[in-house]
Amino acid sequence: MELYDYLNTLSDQIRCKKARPAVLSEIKNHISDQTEACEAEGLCHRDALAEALRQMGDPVEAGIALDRVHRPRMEWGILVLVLILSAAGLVLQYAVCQAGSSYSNFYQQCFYVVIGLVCMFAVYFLDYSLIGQYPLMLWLGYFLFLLCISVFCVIPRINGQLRIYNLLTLFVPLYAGILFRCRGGGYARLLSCGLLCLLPLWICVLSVQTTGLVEIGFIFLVMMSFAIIKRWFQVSAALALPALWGGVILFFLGGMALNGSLKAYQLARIQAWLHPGLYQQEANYQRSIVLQIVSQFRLTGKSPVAHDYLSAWQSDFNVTLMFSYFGILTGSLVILLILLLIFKGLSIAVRQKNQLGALVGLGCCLILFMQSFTYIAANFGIGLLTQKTIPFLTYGLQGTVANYILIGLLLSIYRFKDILPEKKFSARVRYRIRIEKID
Amino acid sequence: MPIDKSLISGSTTMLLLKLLSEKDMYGYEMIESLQKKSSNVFELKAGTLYPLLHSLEAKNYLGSYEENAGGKTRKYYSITKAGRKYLKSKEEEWNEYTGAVAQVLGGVVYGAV
Repeated sequence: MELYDYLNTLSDQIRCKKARPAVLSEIKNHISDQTEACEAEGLCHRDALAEALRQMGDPVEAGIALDRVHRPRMEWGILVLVLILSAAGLVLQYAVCQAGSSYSNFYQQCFYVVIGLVCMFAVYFLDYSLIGQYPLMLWLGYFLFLLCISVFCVIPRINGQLRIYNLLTLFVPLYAGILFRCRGGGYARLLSCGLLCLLPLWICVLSVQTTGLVEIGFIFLVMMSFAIIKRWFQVSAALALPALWGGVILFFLGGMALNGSLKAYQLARIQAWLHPGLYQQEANYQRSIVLQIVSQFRLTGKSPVAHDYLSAWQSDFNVTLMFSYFGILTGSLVILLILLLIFKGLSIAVRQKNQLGALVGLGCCLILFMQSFTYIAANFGIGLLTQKTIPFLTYGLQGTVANYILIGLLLSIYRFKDILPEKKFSARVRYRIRIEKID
Repeated sequence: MPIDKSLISGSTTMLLLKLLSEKDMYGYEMIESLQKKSSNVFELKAGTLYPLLHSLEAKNYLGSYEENAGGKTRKYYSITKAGRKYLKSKEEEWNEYTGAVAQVLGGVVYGAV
C-alpha cells in the first residue's frame, strides 16, 4: 500500500471533514518518523516506507476508531431546556394575551419562536470558528449595518430611543473573534482591541441605549481581562488589568467632569431609585405598582392584584406577570431553568480546549445572564437599568431571534469540541536584513 | 513469547498514562518507549495508539501542544490532573486484579498493594 492510499483510506472513515486535516497531519508525521527509523536500520527509502505503513496497522480500523472520537456532538441538555423554556414562554404569552383580550401577539410570538429555532439550528450547524477567521470583516460589516439603522432610522425611534438592544448584543461573540485575532500582540494590539470596542458603544450612545452601553461595555471589559489573564497578549497582567479597569473608570469620571452637573431628569431618576418610597406618582409610579403586585404573589395560582395600571405590562413586566398568574413556585422554576441553561453554557465554555470557543461561549453566557438579571431585578422593583428582554419570556422578533442565535453559538461550540483543534499562536516573528561588506 | 492481545488491550490506557505521567511525549516516542520498557512485549500499532490518545484527550485526561523539532511539527501529549487521578484508579484496579490472579494461580505476590 502506498502512503497516499493509506492516508486516503484512513481519512475516508472520518466522516467529519473538518477533523481530517489535523488527524492526517499527525499520522503523516508519525509515518515519517517510523520511516526514518527504518532507514537508520539500513533499509532503502521505499522499503522503509512500506515497513512503516505495515507497522501502522489497518487504516480502516484506525479510521473508524478515530471517527468515533472526532464527531460532531449535540448538547442534549441545553436543547431540552430550550424546548421546555420556549413552550413556557408561549404559555406565558397566551396568558398575557388572554388578559389583554387579543391573541395576535401570541400567534406572532409562535411564529417568532419558529424563526428563532431555525436561526438557532442554522448557527449550530455553522462553524463558529468563522468568527475567528474573519473577525474584522464581521465586526466592521455589522457595525456599518447598525450605524445605517441608527442614522437613517430604519427602525422608528420611540421617545428618542432606537430599540436595537438585542441587535447590539450580537457584538459580544464577534468581539471574541477580534481578541482572538490579536493574540500574540503587545500593548499596541491590546489598545487597538480597546479602541475597536468603542464602535458598538458609540452606536449605543447614538441609539440612546444606556442599558446596552453599560451591559455590553462591562462584558467587553470582562472579555479583555480574560484574554489578558490567559496570556493571549504579550503584556504584563499586573500592569494591563489595573490600567484597563482604571482607565475606564477615569474615562467615565473625566466625562462626567467635562459634562458638568447631571441633567435634571438624570438626577430625578437617581433620587427615585435611592428612595423607593418617594415619587410614587411620578418617577417611581411603575416601581410602586410592581412592588404592590409583588407583595400579593401567592405560592401557587393567580394573585388578586390586577396589573392594568402598570404601563407596558405586556412587554416590560413578563416576569412580574408570570409570578402573578402562575404563582411563586412556577415562576421560580422557570427562572431556575433559565439560569440552569446559562450555567450549562458557561460550563461548556470553561471546559473548551479551543480558546476561541471558550471566549465566544463566555461572552454569550454573560450577555444572556446580564440581560436576564436586569429584567428580573426591574420586574421585582429593584432595578436601576431599564429592562429590555429576557430569553424565552418576552415578546418580539428581535429579542427572540438574537437570543436563539446566542444559544445556537453555545451549541455550535459544543458540537465542534472534539473536532476543531486549538491552533497555537506564535509571537510575531521579526526579520532583519543586514548588508555586510565582504573584504 | 507472544502475549494474548486481549490481555494487552485492557491495560493499554493505563500504560500510556503511566508513560506520560513521567514525561511529555509524542506518538512515535510513546510506541518506542513502550517497546523498550517492556522488552518488546508491547508492540503498539499507531492505528491503535492515536484513537486512544485522542479519546483520552477528549475526556480531558490528556492535554496536547505542538512543537517544532527539526523542521517537523510534533504534537506532544501531557497528562492532566484528571488524568493522574484516573491513572491512580486504574493502577489500583490492576493491582487488585493481579493480586487475585496470583492467588488463584498460587504463589507469592511481591509488591502487590
